[in-house]
Amino acid sequence: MILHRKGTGMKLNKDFLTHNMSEDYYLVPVGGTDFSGIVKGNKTMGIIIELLKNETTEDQIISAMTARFDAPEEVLKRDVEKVLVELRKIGALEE
Amino acid sequence: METLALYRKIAEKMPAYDTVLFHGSAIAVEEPGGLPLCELTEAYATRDVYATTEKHATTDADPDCIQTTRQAYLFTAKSGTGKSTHARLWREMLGTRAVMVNDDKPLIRVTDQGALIYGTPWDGKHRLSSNICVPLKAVCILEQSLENHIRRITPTEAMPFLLQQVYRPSDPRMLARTLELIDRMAKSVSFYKLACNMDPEAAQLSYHTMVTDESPMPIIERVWAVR
Repeated sequence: MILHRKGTGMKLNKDFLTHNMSEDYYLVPVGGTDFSGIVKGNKTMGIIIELLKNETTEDQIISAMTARFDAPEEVLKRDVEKVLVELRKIGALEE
Repeated sequence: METLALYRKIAEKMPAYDTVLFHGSAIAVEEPGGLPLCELTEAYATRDVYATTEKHATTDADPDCIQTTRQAYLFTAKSGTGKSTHARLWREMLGTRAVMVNDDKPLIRVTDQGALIYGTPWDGKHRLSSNICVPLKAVCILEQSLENHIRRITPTEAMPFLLQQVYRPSDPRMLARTLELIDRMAKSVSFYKLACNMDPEAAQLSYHTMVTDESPMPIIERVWAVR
């Protein structure tokens, strides 16, 4: 199991483009990447991914989400971790 | 395999000409009262569509290329679902009023007047295509089902399928352009979801729904049960 420190800088892989339509948010990889699918998520996922367009850390993302939403910090932490795990699986994160 | 590699190289560049490669089976249908399609396509048999696409691309529809009395319908789905089979049912039903634009990977050019779909030589294992371009009226997303059922869907509902079936260039800038073109195409084309079997009734249902449907949104539903 690979452990990722929450203070480690990360960024969205430039080979993954974002696209949104109405309330749906998509992450679309260029052709030829190992991941050939499409990721579809809601607005919350979209906000997290938009934050990843600039170099950031997991702690910074959680802070930004806490400032923006009224949800308990533990809930936001869990949601951010879940998104980051999925993005790592498909190679969408540069760390 | 080498010819497909060449087509991929072409597809990588085409978004710069407002054109995307799309995985699906496209059929052109003559509207009632027009000339039979076989006569029209003969008149354009020697026309070089690729020159039109690559050298003379403009944002206006090419008046020499467009057959205003016919429109195209594109069936798309995962491989093996039955796109070519459904297009064949339309040809059997319509006879000379229908002709294949491309049975595998047509090109779609997005203009200010709407989307145009082009035949190309990369036309699948049955080698079905014509050297024509036709206004694209509707995209129909297929899935297999025992009972035939069709409903109109919104561009938002269609978007995941469009993103999966459009060719995605390896250059991020061309992919960004592709996504813009898909959004623009979604404004001029109707979308349907068809759950179907391989009976002729499936083609009758999809044809009568898509060809006669001139209404704007909202969603229309029709069910045609197998007898």
